[in-house]
Amino acid sequence: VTASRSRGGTRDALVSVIVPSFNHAAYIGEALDSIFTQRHRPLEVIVVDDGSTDDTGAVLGPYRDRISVVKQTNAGPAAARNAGLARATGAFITFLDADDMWHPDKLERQLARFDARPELELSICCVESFYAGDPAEEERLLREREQPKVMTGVVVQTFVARASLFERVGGFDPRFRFAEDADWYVRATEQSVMEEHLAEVLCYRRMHAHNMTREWPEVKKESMLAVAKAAIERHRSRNA
Amino acid sequence: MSMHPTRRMAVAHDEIASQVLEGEAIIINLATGLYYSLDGSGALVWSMLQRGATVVDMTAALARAYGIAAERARADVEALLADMEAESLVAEKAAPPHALEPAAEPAAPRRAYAAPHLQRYSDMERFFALDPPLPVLDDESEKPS
Repeated sequence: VTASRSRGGTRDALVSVIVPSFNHAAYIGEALDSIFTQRHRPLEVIVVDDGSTDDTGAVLGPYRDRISVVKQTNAGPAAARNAGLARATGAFITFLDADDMWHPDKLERQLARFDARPELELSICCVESFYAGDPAEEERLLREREQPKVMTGVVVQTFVARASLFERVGGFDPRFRFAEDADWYVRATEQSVMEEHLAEVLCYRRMHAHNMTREWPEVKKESMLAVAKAAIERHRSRNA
Repeated sequence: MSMHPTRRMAVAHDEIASQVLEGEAIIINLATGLYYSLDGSGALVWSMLQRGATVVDMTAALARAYGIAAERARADVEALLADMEAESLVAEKAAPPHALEPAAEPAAPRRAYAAPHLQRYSDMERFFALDPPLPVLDDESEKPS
């Protein structure tokens, strides 16, 4: 535990931002811009390139002096986030997927909650979906989507967590290619995480063909079922 | 409530994901984010339901697998189906009865019987409901089955 991880005020607290990215050259610039327009400083931005085969490297060029880049063979978002966690030295840990964006006030607003409630370990905000830039694609996705656009954001992009929480709960389980964040969150709640949900939308999730459909049906369902099964087994061993 | 013996219930909609593994059924309703487990006799009923079994089929299989009276099996099957219907996991199927797809009969010896119980979990509600799978409208090849 480094000196930066003290439980004092958040004003000058170092915030680690972990950005896993796999072939999101088209979007990662916008994601990084939404990080660097945060009011809060200091930031430690760690991009984990999860084996991208597109122009991600070139897009990252102009940001090189402000980010550190970890490259790995494609291993999925859980392993990518863990690689970022291993490098992170901040008192607070946050995540932003390379195709999503933050509101400029996100860190400031959520960090203020830790000053208001020093016992807090995890702050969660709401998330709003937005759609691919291509009008035809957007129209198609909107037509298919029936759920509300604003939702309680229990996805890692909405989290601001004390680094000590990851020491307590551990990292993400790389067995799960999807729903690894659900698995982590449930493990955190099983350990009585001190959490708070903000009603404000401070995070935006990009809906596009890649994340909405192509990878979905079977692989994602299988991951969710595996995550659910693991949680049920933990329920049982606790009750045994 | 007593169901017509040839009444057939089926998985309610495309947003129900399930698997039966090691004698346990795990079911997620992706529309609500709730998930469920069924073990032993319940997992047997769920497996049969997925294959299009009628109440009669399920009752007979339960009675045979556990060596219990048909009346008791019937009451337990109906109670479980009612619980699952209340959770929107199953719905009545209008299609006419057809021959059951063959499935391997459980080879295990008779086990002690416990009435099927649908265990419900809500701790991942907000996660699972956030990302329901979506049908692909204009590309048939990618349509989820």
